[in-house]
Amino acid sequence: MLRFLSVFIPSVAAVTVVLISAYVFANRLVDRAPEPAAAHVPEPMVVQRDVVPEDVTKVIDAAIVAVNEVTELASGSDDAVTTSPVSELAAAGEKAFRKCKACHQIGKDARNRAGPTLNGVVGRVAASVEGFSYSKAMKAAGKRGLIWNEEELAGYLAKPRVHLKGTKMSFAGLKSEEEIAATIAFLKTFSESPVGVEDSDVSEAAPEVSLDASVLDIEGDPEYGEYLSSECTTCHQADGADDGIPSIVRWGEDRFVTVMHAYKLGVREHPVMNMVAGRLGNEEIAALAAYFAALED
Amino acid sequence: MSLNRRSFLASTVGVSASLAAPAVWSASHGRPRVVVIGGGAGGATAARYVAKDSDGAIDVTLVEPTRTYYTCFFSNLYLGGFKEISDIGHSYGTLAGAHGVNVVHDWAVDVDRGAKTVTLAGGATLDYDKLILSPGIDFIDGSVPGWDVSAQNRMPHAYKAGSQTELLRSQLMGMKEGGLFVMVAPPNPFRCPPGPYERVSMVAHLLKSSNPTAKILIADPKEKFSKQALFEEGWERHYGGMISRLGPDFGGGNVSVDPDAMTVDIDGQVENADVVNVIPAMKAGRIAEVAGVTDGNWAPVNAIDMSSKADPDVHVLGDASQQGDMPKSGFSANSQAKVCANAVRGALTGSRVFPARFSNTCWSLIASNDGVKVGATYEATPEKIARVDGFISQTGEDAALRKATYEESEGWYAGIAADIFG
Repeated sequence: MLRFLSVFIPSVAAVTVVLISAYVFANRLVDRAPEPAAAHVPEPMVVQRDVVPEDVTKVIDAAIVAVNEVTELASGSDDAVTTSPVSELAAAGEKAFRKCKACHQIGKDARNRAGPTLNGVVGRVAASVEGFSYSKAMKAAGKRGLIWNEEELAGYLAKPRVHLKGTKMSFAGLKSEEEIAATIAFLKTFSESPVGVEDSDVSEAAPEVSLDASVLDIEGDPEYGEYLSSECTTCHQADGADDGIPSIVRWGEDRFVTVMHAYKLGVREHPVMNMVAGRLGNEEIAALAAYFAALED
Repeated sequence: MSLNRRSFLASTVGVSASLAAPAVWSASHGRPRVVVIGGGAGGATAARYVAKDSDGAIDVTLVEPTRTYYTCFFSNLYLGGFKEISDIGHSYGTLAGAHGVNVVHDWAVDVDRGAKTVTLAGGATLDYDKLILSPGIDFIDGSVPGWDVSAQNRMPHAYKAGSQTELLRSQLMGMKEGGLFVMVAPPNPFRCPPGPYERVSMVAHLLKSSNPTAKILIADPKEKFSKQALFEEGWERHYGGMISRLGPDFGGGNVSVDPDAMTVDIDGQVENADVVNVIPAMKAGRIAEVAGVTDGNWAPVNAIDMSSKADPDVHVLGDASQQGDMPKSGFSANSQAKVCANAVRGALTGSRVFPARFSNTCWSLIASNDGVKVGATYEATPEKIARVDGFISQTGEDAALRKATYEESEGWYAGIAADIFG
């Protein structure tokens, strides 16, 4: 290093050309409209020799302290979740719902009419309202596990007969995305466990999917579950510690199965969990639940 | 809880072993022996899972030269000042104490696959029934002309974490005002695809506050790189004008260095640099080659159990293996190790062998509370480990999500460290 500390004058023009080219090239790669290039011409690199390393170190130490403080402050304000204007949206949705009212009832004393009651529809398995005579197509959708999460509802409300071929709901669809979003917000106010953002304590959140009893009754193979659990324990600590990723031990079996299915079906959203749970079959989820249950006995 | 887990294991494994073991394993051998070479994310996980799940039925020896293992993952966060070096250091005491792994701090220098023995630098010989190689990476001689291991003090690679990482950080902290940091990025395939670019982010984070007129130049032989749009968006947002990258179109693939003069020659253009991080081209850790299980730079394996295509009694994990679609990462090595441990245990004790399943997620930190991730799941096919499904963070995500992603990465680190080292 010392040998290098002789002063050198870089060929500023040449370096600048290279750096501008690199900048343009980088922008081309990410396919963004470049901002005015002039704003990004790098400062000429004038290398100075009169550096006192101790001073630099001090400055950096100070900077690290600052960073740590900022980090702590930020993480301390976790709970300050701002409330979104959900109620406004839902109010708009109530208006939009007039179009549905001819066939669907919602709220207290709602009954099945030409269409099923919509209480609790958000997060519900398709074709699961008792006493309503669903189309063949809707029954099949329910059987294969279609859950009326927001995404599914949005698709269905936009173009029912395209989204679910064979549905007997004779409605052309809501035209604007705003109207659809508002309607879903309104429907959510009549659903016991509306799908919200990720809870920090995933185990205490209410179940969002109503699973068929046959799924909950599968007897899991704990030895298989132990093998499968090794995929969980790369992130979730086996002793239940939580350092930024929730604990998954000491849940009840039904709770475990329900939450995993919620991830599998996309009712709960988290890219890693949607991916991992998406690959697990009913037997495998039951095996995991059985293993984790055996751990706590 | 570990007591319950152990007693639970003792009952189930004990039963299946006593029923099935005689068919698989001759009693004349005594306890079957597994030797694991390399105590990183692949090897330590494999040693831990074989020992833990066999509950003493298998004799497990782990050969690892270092007493304290510094993880490459999160070593960039140390460079950026987000971690202490001690935060990423791990010892093998729990593997030895809680799981009965025989931890030998020595170098494996030879493997005799005919005699099924491993020779250590200290002179001892270990017998094995199953050998698990997880030696990580070594560098390809001459891949960056002018650089070799004797130059790694002047131009650190810092791609095997520990003293090299500390050296690079001390050089960055002592860098002259307005100085130039050059990274010579490696060609594919290499350990931790987002690693060099997370490192650039962390170096920029460090310099932004301490040495804001400093510049960062990346000479890169690759057209594109992992999470490129995310990194480039982040660099523009947090470190505008500080970072430049010369890809192959601008000579980034034609690089030589002069460690004595502290210069980097990029396609004929000589840059005078203050700190140079040379990350050379990589190959499987040397012992894989010595064992004769490599083909070219890497060791081909069968996806179903990570066994070597050259020898069914040798398994190769992690960065050293050539398995298909999984990136070379600590997460991948850890995932592969569990599949391998399950298969090895089944072969030696008759315990149940379940279908292979693999996954990987890589988190990267771009700036304070600006975390991104990419991940995928994989399955074993006759040809390779094949990608099934995946996801990646998106550009333009809001600050709350990025912060949550970073916090998740902290949780992951705690989780995987416990999963590897106990």
